[in-house]
Amino acid sequence: MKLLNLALVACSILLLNACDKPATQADDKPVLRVGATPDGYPHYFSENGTVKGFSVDILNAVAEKINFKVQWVTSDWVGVLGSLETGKIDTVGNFADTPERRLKYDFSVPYYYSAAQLAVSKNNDSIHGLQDMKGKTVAADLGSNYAKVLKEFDPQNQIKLVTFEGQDVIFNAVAQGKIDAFVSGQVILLGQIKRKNLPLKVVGQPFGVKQVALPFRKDARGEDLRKKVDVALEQLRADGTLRKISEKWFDQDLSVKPATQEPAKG
Amino acid sequence: MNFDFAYMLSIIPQILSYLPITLLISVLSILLATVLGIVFALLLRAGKIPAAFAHLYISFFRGTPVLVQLLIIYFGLPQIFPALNSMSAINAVILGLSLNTSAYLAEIFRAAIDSVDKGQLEASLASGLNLFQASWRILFPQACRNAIPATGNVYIGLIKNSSLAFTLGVSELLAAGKLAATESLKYFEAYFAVGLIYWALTIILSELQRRLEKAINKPYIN
Repeated sequence: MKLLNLALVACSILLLNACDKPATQADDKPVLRVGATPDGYPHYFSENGTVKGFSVDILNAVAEKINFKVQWVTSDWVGVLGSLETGKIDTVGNFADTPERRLKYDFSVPYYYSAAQLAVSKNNDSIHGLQDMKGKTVAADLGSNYAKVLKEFDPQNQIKLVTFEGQDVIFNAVAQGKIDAFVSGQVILLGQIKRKNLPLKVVGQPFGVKQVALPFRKDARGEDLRKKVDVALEQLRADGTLRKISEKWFDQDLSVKPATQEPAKG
Repeated sequence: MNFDFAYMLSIIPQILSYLPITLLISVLSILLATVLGIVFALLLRAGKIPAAFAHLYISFFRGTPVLVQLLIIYFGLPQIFPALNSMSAINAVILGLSLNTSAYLAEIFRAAIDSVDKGQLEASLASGLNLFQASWRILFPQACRNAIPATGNVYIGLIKNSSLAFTLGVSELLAAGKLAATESLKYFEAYFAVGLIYWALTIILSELQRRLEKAINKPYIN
């Protein structure tokens, strides 16, 4: 009996060890925690339980290069920014690198260049670009940089800006004509309109090109991660991976700075 | 975590500039909700069919999230009735909050009316008052007295629900805080400032309620 007990204990210890093994192995890889919104097509979105998207592909490629594994943390955009602030996440994709944000975060080298553009209702025939926006109302997403970009192109303050939380609400407000236009990223607008079959269209030239990079907190962990990521991004740029990922999602290479194109200021 | 206390204080005036819009939404919703609440409390007592309608109404508005109701009113209904498309976001918020709150108030008012002893009505009718006089001068003051504490709670809830207006693009107190937060990237300072303002509003409302209760209780103090 005693022997049997002993054998049982020995067996279970072996079993437990066997169970432990894969877990500990996976834990060997350090974790890069990345914030995302569930509705950030084409940057990040979840499909069948996995996170996909342009910025997701970039971050996965970076993580592979630095031998980390990515842990996705999804919440709304304000929640993402709050998580970054408190260190609950390490970085977030599609966060334009601006002087104001540089006061707070260190940025990696850029991984793509984003331009703002306007979208209006499909039935709207009176707005063809920024020059037609005088006295009109435009919606912007809370915490996005595009409202600011728009203001740079509206020096006389003739465009009325309304901030919303959540893009789906904005799509509805613009489609129903409650708001005249939506200012957002060119690729976000094109991607969302196509994917969701929205009754919207983009109008006018893209404007206000900004570089987009990965932000990191100004502490020891953030600095360490940023240095690693910088090296990885340079390698991915050199071997053509950045271009390939960009072409996969947007049919064009946004990983290089476009020739400066100044649209007619409205 | 380094909490920037000076920044928190410095943005309070900026956030307070959005107080009028929050007050406008809250006060108009409180008035409309109270009127609707009384109507539905009376409908509950007005025969089978009106009571069934009131029950359905109360069940829906208590049983679904306010945010869902606001989205339905602002975006959903105009798709069925295009004329409603001209409703502004702020009107949609006031309407939505009023409908939602009135459902809670209807139940409170019904309970308050029931809490007045039947003998009170019988005595007033026996002493020569007609039904309207009896209701207005005898039943109503007593029902009011019983309804005030719970009603105050509902009003406080409504003030805080007014922050949902931001989802429809109306910039009010919480929106001002969030805008400040995303600009300065100092989240907790901004939310703290917003929290303090809501707290102050609630303290003022509670004080008004306390004074009203005191005034109404006067006849009962020996």
